[in-house]
Amino acid sequence: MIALMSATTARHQTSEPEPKLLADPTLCACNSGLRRTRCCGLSSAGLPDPANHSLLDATVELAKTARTGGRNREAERYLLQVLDLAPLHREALRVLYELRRAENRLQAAEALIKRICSIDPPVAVILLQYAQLLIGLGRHADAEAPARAALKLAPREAASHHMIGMIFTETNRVLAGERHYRLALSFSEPNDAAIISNLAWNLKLQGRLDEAAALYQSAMAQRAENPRTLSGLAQVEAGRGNFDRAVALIGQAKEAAPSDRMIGLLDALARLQRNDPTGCIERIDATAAAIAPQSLVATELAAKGQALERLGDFEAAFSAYQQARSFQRERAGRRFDPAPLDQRLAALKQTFLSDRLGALPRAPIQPGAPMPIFLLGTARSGTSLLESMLAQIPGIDPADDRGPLPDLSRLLPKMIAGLGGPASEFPDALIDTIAGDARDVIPMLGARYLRSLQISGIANAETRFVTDRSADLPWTLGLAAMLFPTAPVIQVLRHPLDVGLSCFAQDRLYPGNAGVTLESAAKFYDITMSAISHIRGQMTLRYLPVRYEDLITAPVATFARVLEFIGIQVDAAAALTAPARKVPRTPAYAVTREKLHRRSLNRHQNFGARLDPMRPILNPWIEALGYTPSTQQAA
Amino acid sequence: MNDMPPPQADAAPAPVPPASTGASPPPIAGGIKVTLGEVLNEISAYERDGKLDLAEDLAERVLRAAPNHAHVLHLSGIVAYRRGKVDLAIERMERSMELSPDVPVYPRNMCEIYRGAGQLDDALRVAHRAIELAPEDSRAHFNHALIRYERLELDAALAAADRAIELDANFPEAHFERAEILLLAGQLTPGWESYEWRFKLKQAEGMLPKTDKPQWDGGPLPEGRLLIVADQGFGDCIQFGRYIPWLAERAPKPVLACSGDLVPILKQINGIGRIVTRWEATGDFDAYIPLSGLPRLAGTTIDTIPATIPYLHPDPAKIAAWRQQLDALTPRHKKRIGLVWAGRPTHKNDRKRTVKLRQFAPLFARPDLAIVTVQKGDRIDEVGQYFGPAPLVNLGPTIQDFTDTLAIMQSLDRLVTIDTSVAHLAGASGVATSLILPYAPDWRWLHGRDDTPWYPSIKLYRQQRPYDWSGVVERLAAEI
Repeated sequence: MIALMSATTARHQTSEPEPKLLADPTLCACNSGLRRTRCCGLSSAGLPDPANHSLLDATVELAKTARTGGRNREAERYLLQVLDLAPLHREALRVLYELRRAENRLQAAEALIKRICSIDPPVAVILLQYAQLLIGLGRHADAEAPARAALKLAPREAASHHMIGMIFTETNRVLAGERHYRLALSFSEPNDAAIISNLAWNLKLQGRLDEAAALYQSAMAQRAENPRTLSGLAQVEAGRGNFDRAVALIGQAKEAAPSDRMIGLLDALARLQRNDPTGCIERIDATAAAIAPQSLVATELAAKGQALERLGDFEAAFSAYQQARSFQRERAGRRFDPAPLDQRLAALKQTFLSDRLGALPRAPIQPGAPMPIFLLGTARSGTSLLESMLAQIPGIDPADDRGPLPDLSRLLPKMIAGLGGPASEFPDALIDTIAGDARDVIPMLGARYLRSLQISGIANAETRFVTDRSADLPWTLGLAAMLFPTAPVIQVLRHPLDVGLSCFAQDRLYPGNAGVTLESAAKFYDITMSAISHIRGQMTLRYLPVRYEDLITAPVATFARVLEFIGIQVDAAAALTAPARKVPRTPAYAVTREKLHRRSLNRHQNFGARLDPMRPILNPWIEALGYTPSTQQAA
Repeated sequence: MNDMPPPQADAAPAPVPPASTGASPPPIAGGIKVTLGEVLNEISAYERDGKLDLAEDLAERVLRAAPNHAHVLHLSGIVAYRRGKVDLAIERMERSMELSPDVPVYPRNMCEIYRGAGQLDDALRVAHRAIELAPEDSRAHFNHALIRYERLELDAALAAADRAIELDANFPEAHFERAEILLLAGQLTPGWESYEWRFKLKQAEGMLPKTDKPQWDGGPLPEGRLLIVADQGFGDCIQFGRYIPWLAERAPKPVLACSGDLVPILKQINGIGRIVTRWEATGDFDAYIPLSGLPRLAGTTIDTIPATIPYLHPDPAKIAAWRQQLDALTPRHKKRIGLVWAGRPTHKNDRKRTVKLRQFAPLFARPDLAIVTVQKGDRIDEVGQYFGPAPLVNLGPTIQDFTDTLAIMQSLDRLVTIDTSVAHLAGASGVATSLILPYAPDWRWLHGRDDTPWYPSIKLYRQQRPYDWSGVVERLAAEI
C-alpha cells in the first residue's frame, strides 16, 4: 500500500516528485483470484456506493451466461473485473463463490461466502449456504453462527431448522438437534426423507433404536434404495442385536451404491464382526483397487489392520495402523499438540487442592432420585465393558457417554457470573462457589444433572442408578464429586500398553490429535491418569479400582465385587448369563458389541518392540499399576 | 512425640585438615582468588545456614578444581547428603576417608551418613574408627550411642552415651540420648531425669516461655497460678495430657498454653482452667511446667502409668455425622480399616517411621476390608496412586481437625497407623489400633513387647530388622 498525502501538503513540505498512485497487483492468498486488496485484505475505506453497483450488473449477467454455457474461465474473467471495481457486489460474489466451490477451491469459497454474509441486509439462503459449506468441511461448531442467523431471519423455514438440527446433533447436543429436526418436519413436506433420515440418526445417537428404526422404515417407504438410509438402518439393527438383518441391509445398500466407500467400509466391518477377517480384508482391498492410485483413508486402513491382527499377522497389522495414522498426519494435517492437554492438567492441579475445596458447598442427596455410578477410565480402558455388565441389573441404566457433566462444566462459570460472581473458566470457577449466591450453584447443577437424565430418557421411574462413563470424566471428576459426594466411582484399569495400543490402532483422534502417533497415545494416557490421580489424592471419593483383565478372566467374581461395592445384592453369575436386558437408551457401543473374548488381553505382547516409543512414558504407570510380568501371566 | 532431634553430625567440621593435593581453588565472587580454606568455610557457612543450593554449587565447582582433595570430597558429600543424594554422599565421603584415613572427623561424620542410609554395620565400623582416632572426642562417642540405639543394643548405647557425658558433662544431646535409651529400656525413673536436658538442646529454643518464674516442683499452688506448656509434638501432648487431672489436684485450674490445633482436643481433659495459644495471653503465673515434665513429677514407672482410657471423647454429633458419611461411602459387610502411613516430614524420625501407602498391599488384598484413609498433609496425594483391590475412601481432604479424626475413628473397626499423633488420638480414645514401629522405635513404645502400658487398645507390630518393613504388614493384616 502506498501512503497517501494530500497533494497540497506534499507540495509545501518537499520538493521531491509526487508518488505515483499504483494498484497493488498482489493476488489474495485465499486463491479467490481477486487482488488481495479486493478480497481478504479489503478495507471499507474507498468502497463504492452500492447504489452504483447496478452499472456493473450487465457484466455480471454476462458472467452468469458464460457459466451456464460451461465457459467458466470467461465467467471468471467478468466476475474478477466486476469485483475489482465493486468488491461487495453481492451477485458477483455469489457467482464467483459457486464457481470456486465447484472447483473445490474451498478456502476461496469460504472467504467469498463469508464476505457475502457480511453484506447488509443478511439473506437467510446465503447464510445457510455458508453453514452448509462449513458442515461439509466438518466444522459444525463454526457453522452454528451463520445457521443461527439464518434461523432468526427465517424461523419458519424447514431448511434453517434442518441445518441447525444437524449442527446440534453433530456437536453432542442431540436433544436440541431432535427438537429442530422435528420443527423442520413440521415446516416441510411431511415426508421429507432427508429430514426423517437425519432425525432417525439423531435418535440412534440417543440410543432410541426402536424409534430410529421406525423412522428409517418410513424414509425407505418413500425411497427404498437410498443407500444412506439403508446403511443407517443397518447400524440401528446391529445395535438392536439384529445382525443378520443388518448384514442384509448393508447388502442392499451395496447394490444401490456399489462404489460407495462408506458402505464398503460398513460391509468390511460387519464381516470382521462376524469373525470373517479374510472377508473384511478382501472388501477393503477391493476398495483400494477401485480407487488406485488414490490411498485408502484412515478408517479403512485401521479396519484392515484389525482384520490382519485377528489373523495373527501382527507385522502387517501394525503396518496398516501406521499407514492409517500416517494418512491423518500427512494428508489431513493432524499433528499432535500436547500443549492444550498440559494446560488442562496444570489448571486442574491448581484448582483441585484439598485446602481450597474443603469449604466449598456440596450438593445434597436427592431422595428418590437415581444415583450416578461414575465409571472412570482412560480412553480404551474398558469402561464400556463394565457398563454393559452393570446394565444387566434391573434398575441400573446406562448413560454411556451421554451424561450431562461436560455441559454442566461449561454452564458452571456462566451461572456463577450470572449470580454476580467473577467470570472465570472451569475448573477454576469451581472455587468461586465459595462466596455469595454462587454457593447455590453446586446444588442447582446437581439437580440439573438428574433432570437432564430424565429429559434425555436415560433414566425413568424404575431407574435406581445411572452409569456415567463420560469421556470427559477424568476432567470433570472433581465436579462430579461435588455434585454427588457419595456416588460410587469405579475406575477401570487396564495394562497401559494395551490402552496405548488400542488408542493407536484405530482411526479415532483424541484431544490435541492424541492417538495420531504412539507417543501421543501414551502421552494422552499419562495426562489422563495424572488428572485422575490428582483428583483422587485431593478429594474424598467412594472409590473402587477394577482391572479390565479381571473383568475378562474372572467376570463373575469381579462383577460380584463391583456389585457389593455399590451395595446391590444380586446374583452376579445369573445377571451375566441372562439375555441382554433392554435399557431405556441403548449405548452407542452396542453396535459393535461382541461376546467376552480374550483377544484384548495383553494384546501389546503381540507387537513387542514396535511399541517401544510408548514405554518411556508408560513404564511408570505400568509399575504403579502393578503390571509386572508375573501379573500379566496371571491375568 | 519428640520434636527435638539430637544433633546428628557436625556438618562443618573444624579445623580444616590439610589438603591432599595441591590444586588451586576456583576463583569466586568476580574472579578474586581466595584460599581453599576460605572457600571451604564459605561452603560450610552455606550448609549451616541451610542455603544448600549455594553450598552445592560452590562445592561442585571446588570439586572440579580439586577432585582428589579429601576435605572437599568430605564437605561436598555432606552437602550432597543434605540434598538427599545419599549414594553420592557416601561415595565421596568414603573416598575422603581413603585419601585421609587418619582424620577423625571423617569417620565421625560418616557414621551418621551410614546411619541415615540404613547401613548400620558400616556405621558401627566407622564409629569405632572415629573413637579409635579420637578417643577423647565426646561427639564420636555420642554418634556411637546413636548407632547402638538404632541397633537396639541398649547396654552398649548407654555406655557410649555415658562415656560422651563423662568427656563433656555439659553435652545436652548426649544426656538426651541417654534419656531415650533409658526410657526405651523401661528404666523410666532415671530416664525422666536425663529427659530434663531436652530444653537445653539447640532445637528447644522458644519451646518454653521467657520468664524468670520457676519450673513447678509438684507442690501445691493457688487456683490458676500454674502455667502448663504443651511443649512437644501433638502426640506427646495427647499422651501427657493424661496427667492434667493429677496436676489439677495440686494446682487447680491451671492455664494451658498450646497450639491452636490442640485446643479442641485438650479442652476435653478435666481440670484445665484456661487455654491460651499465645504467650502474651498466659497472664501472670507463679510457676510453669512443660507437659512432658509431668511423668517425672508424678514419679511414673512402668507399673504406674496412668491409663484411664478413654480420656478423650469425641463429640456425639460429629460421630453421627461421620458415621452417616462412612455408611454412604464404604460397602456394607466389610470391616472399615482406618489408615495413616506418613507423619510430619520435619519430625526427626520421619524417615524411619513413614512408609509408602503401597506398602500396605497385604491389607488391601484382604477381601473383607474397606480402607478409610485419615491421612493429612502432603503425602495424601499417594492415594492417587492407589490401585489395590480393596475399596478405598480418602477422608483426609474432608477432615478439618483432630476432632474430626477422633469422631471418624469411632466408626472404624480398627486403625492401622505408623507412629504419629493419630495413634495417640486413637489410644487416648480407646480405639482398637495396630501400630507399626521401626526396629528402634521412639522410646515411649518400649521394646520387646507388642502392647503398650500407655494405651491398652494399641497393638504394636515391630520391624524384625532395622529399616525393613517386610513381614510387618503381613502379620498385621493376618491378625485383623
